[in-house]
Amino acid sequence: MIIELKDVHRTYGQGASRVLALRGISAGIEAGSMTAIVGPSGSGKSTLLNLLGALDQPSQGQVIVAGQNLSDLDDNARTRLRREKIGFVFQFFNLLPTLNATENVLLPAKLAGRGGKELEKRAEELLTRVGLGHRLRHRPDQLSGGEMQRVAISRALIMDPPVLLADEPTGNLDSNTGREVMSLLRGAVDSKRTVILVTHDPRMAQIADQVLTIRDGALAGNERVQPRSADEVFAQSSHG
Amino acid sequence: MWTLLKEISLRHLRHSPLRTALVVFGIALGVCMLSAMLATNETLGSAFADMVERVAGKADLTVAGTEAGISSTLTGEIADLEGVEHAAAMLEVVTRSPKPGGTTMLVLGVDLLGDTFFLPFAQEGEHQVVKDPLAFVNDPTAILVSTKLAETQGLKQGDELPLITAEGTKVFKVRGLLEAEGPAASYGGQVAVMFLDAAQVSFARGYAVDRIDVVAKEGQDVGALKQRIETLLDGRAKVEEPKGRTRRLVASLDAFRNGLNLMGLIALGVGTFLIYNAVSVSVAQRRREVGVLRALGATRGAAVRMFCLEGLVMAVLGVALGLPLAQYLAQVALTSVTQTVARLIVPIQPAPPHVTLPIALAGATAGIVATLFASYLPARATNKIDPAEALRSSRASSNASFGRPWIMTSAAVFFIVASPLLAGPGTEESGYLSSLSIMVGFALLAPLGVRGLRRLFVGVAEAGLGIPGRLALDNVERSLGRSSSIVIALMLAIAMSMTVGAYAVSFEASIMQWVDDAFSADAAVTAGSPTVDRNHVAFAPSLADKARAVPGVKAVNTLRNVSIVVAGKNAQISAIDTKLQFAEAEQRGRKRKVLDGPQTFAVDALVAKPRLLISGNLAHFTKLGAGDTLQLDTPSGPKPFEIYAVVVDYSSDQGWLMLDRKWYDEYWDDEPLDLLEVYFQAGADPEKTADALRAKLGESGGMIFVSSHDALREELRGVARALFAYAQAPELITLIVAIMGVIGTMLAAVIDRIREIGMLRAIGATQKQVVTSLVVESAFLGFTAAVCGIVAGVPQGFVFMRVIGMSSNGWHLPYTFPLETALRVSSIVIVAAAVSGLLPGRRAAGMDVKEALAYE
Repeated sequence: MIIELKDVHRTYGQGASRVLALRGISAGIEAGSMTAIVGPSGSGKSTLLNLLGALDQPSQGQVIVAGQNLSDLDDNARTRLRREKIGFVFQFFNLLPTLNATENVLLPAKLAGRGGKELEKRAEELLTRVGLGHRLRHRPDQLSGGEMQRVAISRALIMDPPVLLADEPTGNLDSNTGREVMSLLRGAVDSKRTVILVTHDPRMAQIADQVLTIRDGALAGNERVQPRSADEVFAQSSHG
Repeated sequence: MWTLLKEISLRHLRHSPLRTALVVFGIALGVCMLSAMLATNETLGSAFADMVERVAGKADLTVAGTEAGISSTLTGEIADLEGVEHAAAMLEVVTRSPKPGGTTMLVLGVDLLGDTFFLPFAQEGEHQVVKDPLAFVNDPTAILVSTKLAETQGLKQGDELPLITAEGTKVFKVRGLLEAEGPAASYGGQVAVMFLDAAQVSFARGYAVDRIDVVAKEGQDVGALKQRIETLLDGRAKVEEPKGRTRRLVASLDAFRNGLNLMGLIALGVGTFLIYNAVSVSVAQRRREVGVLRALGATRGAAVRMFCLEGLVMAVLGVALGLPLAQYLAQVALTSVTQTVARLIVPIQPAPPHVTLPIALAGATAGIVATLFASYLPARATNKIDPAEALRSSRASSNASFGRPWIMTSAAVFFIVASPLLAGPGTEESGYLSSLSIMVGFALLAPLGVRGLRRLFVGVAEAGLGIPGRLALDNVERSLGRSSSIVIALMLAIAMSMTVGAYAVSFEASIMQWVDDAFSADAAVTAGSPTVDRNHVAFAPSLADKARAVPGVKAVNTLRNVSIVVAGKNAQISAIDTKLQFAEAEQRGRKRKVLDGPQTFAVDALVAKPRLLISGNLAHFTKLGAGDTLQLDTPSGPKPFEIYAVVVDYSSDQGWLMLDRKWYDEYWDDEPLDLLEVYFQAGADPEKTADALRAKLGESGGMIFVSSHDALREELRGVARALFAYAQAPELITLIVAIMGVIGTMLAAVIDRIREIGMLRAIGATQKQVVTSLVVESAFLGFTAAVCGIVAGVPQGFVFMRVIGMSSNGWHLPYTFPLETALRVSSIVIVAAAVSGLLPGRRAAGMDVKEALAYE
């Protein structure tokens, strides 16, 4: 298991204003798979994703990512974990407007103090692989939404992390672009890489190998499913 | 309206304590500085007026000449004129106790045997001070002291009081104490009174007096009496009403008072900028709130009024904080300014300053009006907020936009190019207009400067500091509006420091050059003070003879320095043996810089005919040049002098003239000396000769100073620096703008970029990298402002020196770049800006990453 959740609780506030965001979640996610976390708004999906991404710590229980228990890590260690083991893809892309596509992709490497021609070449390869070979020096304001998300995916992959977390990665995109992005994410899954995505779009769940359903902070379902291709899922929805 | 204030505005003020504190501090700063400077100015002015009016007392008219005084025989002639009720003479001398650190005091010489109407003490009754006037006038050591002076010096009746006189230290006997009223309360109450004859002898004033006070008979027209006295005097002295003398004296303070007022106004301007900045950020960040209010029915005007009322609440707090601080600041400012004024202009001992009700009201009004103005400008932006759009867009942006770069650049070039044309007439007003044009031009260029410097240094920043350095500089350009506004504010403050700094170093360099050119003697001898300033005491001619007898001394030249009114200015006139001076200067290869007239002086040029050397500034004021005739009002009446040459001289900002001793003795009939120029024999040991002079001349006490050429140079350097001591104030203001402005700007930047900072932390940025990025961004804002301010300060300095300064003091100073000021101010600004970035940086680094990512 690349990720293990053991009786995870997360509460916010104290006393009368105490909110129980996650209650006793236990689950395991296998390396080299795609997992979709689904559920209605306010169910606790994002809270869970924050824990998986080492952005937060559980109030109770254990979250083990790539063999490291988050509760044992201080802020610097969690930063290192995120930098080396986790790639993030956000709904709003969060690209830096002053950097061009290649520079945005290189950002995590530069934050880790790495750089050089080799990494630059890798960034360009990643961008070319997602179909942006002709947009290497373009800034975010010169790119479409789908292109920006593809840059964000390349950025998430630059450090070659074993885990990729995507928070509503198609939430801000049209259907056709969403399909392309999901194809790329699906393509990122291989023996070394695990993709976890949070979505409220039921179509996305069909592309995953595992679906965790969260409702009122509790795990309402943990299914292993036969994944379908993004093209198939989006084609069906456009006809239906 | 009040509901909006109570339910929304006050909550915002409470929930943004730092921003509220920034605004309140900005207002307090402006109110405090303005009120303190007004109080200092008023106290200085009052001290001058008080001195003149207390001494003049009940007089309708005062007859006075130069510092050499007027003949006491005039008293009788005036008293005999029709319409004169009383006329009495008085001598005024400032001297000091010879004790180390002894205070200065005003000694009044009064005629107890003449008209006693003006005497500053009771003649009879139970308060009679001098029981036996005849015994008093027959005792040359008898002295009366004010109760205040007695208190300061620990004196009582019968005690001895040693004072520096023209013939060294003399010991006087305290024969009575004067109540601190009338003349005895002038000069901060540090007053002593002697019999006129005794004072004339002690201070080598011959038969001269400084003033004759006149009271007109009842029903006598004072104007007509003034004319009668003027006819009698025939130019030997001036007749003035006391208020006229006060006005002239107070006018000599103009440079200081204008400087102080300028400081107060700059502080108010800076405070206004801080408020404008903070309210702009607030308006931009509450765009959505304004949209909601508008959607719920609030009018456009209501939103504007809401922000203005918020400003008003903070203004009241700022005023409440600023006014008590003003009292303290006024005391500090007055202490600093008084020392310089008392040494160089008029000896005064002002009372403690008070922030009076009118000053407090002026400060409070200025603070409130400035706040409302600074709030109204950004608040107007709420008029343009479309409720629907504001509700759709959740992102706040406090970044202002600028016009098209080419329009900005063209406008900037226009203003900068126009500045020399505006300065053309050469008046103070045209100078300020030109200076304003330069500042507007550079302010318009600031965005271009920010962009250019970012592009120039972004590679260096990334190479040295990694990606945090790159992002820092990128963000400065990205928030161009916000960055430019803080850069402009800092740039203006730095340019101001550079201007004053350039003036100070140029003045110092010129003074040093002038001392080398004009002072060729090996040593200068003075009493009371190392230079001829208001603290020095004149000495008797016998001292020169003593100096001549000292082994190793080749020659001694005697200098008398008195004031004279020329073209409405209180100019200084120096009388000296010009033949000796010119000959020695030539021998030693020293030469005054000549602006007009013969480049080499004939040795007896000023002896052969009544001729003058005049300073460049006096030539500027009188519009006269070499070969022209200047009529001087001497105690012997008006006398024409030919201007032999116009030279560089910095003795007085009111103008300077030099004539030969021969003409001075003939027209002034004045004995005392102010300075001895001593020339040593070839081969004489300078140290030993100077020591021998000190030993010989100091035999009778008198606080004698024997200064070598180098020592005199250093002393004058100290005087030049003291003149510009108040110039440190703009640097303090710059520091405050840097700290407060950068904190405000960077806090706004952090709020604008919360989600971005969250993203950076999520993808692996450490807290240290986030802090570094914001600190570098702050420091770069300071650096950009320093570069722009230093560049803008150069033309500003030129205008200040060549136009404003020139029209005020007539000195033509060669521009010297103030390297030390540039380095000091830029270091202050960059370090202060970087340190100011720490607080927002730590706040950003400490943010909860998941909350930052979810920030709307």
